[in-house]
Amino acid sequence: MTLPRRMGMTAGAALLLVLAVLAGICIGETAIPLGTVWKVMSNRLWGAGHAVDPIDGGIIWAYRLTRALVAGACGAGLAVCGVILQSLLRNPLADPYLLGISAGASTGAVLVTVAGVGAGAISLSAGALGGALLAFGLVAVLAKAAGGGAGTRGAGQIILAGIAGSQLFNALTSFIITKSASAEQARGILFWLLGNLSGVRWPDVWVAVPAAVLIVIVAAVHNRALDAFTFGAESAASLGVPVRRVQAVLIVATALATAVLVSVVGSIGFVGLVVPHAARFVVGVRHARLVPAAALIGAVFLIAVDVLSRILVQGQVLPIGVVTALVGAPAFALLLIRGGARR
Amino acid sequence: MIRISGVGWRTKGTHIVRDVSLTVSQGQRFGLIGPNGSGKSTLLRLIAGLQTPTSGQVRLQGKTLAELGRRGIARRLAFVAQAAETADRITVRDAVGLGRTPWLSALSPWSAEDDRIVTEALAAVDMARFDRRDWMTLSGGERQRVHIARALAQRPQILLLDEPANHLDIHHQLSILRLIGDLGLTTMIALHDLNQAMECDRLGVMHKGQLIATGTPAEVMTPDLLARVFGVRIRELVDPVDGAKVLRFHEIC
Repeated sequence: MTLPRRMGMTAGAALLLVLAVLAGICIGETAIPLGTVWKVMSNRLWGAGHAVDPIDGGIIWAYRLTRALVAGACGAGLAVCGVILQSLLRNPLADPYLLGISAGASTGAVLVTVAGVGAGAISLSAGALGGALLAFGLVAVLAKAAGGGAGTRGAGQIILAGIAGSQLFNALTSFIITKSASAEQARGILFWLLGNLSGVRWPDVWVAVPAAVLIVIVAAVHNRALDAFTFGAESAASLGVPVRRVQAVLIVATALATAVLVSVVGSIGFVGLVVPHAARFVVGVRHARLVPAAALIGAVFLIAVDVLSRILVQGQVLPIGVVTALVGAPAFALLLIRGGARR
Repeated sequence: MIRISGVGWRTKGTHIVRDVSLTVSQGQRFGLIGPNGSGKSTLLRLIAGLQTPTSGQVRLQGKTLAELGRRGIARRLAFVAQAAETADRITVRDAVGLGRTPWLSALSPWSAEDDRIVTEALAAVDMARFDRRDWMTLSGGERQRVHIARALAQRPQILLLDEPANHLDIHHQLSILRLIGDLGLTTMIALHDLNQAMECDRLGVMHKGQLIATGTPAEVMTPDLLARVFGVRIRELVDPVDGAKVLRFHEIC
């Protein structure tokens, strides 16, 4: 790709992201005009001193902007995690939750909110993060003991270990809920399990955005190594890729990023599985283009879905995971059919 | 060029390859023959550094594989597996371009020179006109040619091939083998077809993980040895057209 073209693409991508965030701010139960958004943003960013309604200011700055930023970060991060795992494990069904992370996070979350572990000293996010890391550790140990996980053979072992780990932690979650949750608590937890962007504030932005940026950078740095896995791990090794190291670094980075994102917003399904495929349809399989494309599509998609989840049912916010699947599944089906016809 | 000394590989108490020593000199075409499970593929993988020997050492151009490192090995040696597959919708040109991986880094990104090398590699296997095609649309023989082109794009001095003509029809078998012969690289190739093995400069015979004979095809392909290793009786026929020897095989009951 020539330099001017690359700069053009980057500018286009940035513009698209800004537009998505603006849409996320303006659209909602009460529509906010662009002019007001401009005034609030310039007040906040460089103290322009426009007169604005403090309620509008609060909604824009503390509620809708943070929500859009976290949605974008989660969309980009989960999509890139999906790209990495699908390429590395040579499995089109791989998604960021494959490593037992979302199941572990749920268990951690219900332990804190329902079973009262930590006696209020531990937040739901911290519990979820702890559960996610514990589950991933267990899956990694199991995969290693089964003789796989890293190396030229046995990438399949980590998938199987992930399934076992996920089942175990999902069962634990159900067990805790049925044993000790009230109906009210169960409803709250269900909401969180399907992905929840309500109550997201600036501290969450400072957790989610760096995690997403880091995983995108890690993936971009490894784009050639990921390409080399096209014909399997052994082929990658014969092309000079240090397979064990690359697998270990990428899987651990993916697990950490996913665990952080899940701990902020719950497990939003579908994005990590489907956005990578959509990105491949658009830009092809080379990771130099696939990674940024997946990040952009993931971010814009999740911001848009969040807007939909707020306006679809009057006076009620739907769990975002429900909407990602409702919107994403038909869109993906269309892509599949079109791709099939082209083949 | 390739010097293997006392190389062995064992797993779960079983010796898959045991105490193999061997030298292949520059430009030589070395054929490995032996029955299924005799350790040919494992030996090639050990030489390519894809598996680490549990004993002994492999040297390429005087350096051990550990000294060379993964990237260093990949710049000197290319490995073509039996049938590596992908479900990705990758184009032929991109698949061959993967061969440039060991030469690329953040400091030396893809350049016009890499494009030229890929074009040359595609031309060498007679696949230039397929370069925009999808991998999915290729036949088995075409895919194997693309694998060889990718190996050539690594610009190796040594080429290892694990039964590259397996699964191909006779026309493609012959054309792949002729192609490999014309490259002029130091080549080690595992072969099933003993008549095709006759075309190599030297042969090594693997039997139960050990290299039990090396030499020219005429020295190695003795009735005695073939009976012992493959359990067949051979009769040599002579092709009246060019005087070449042809082997016929009969089971020993």
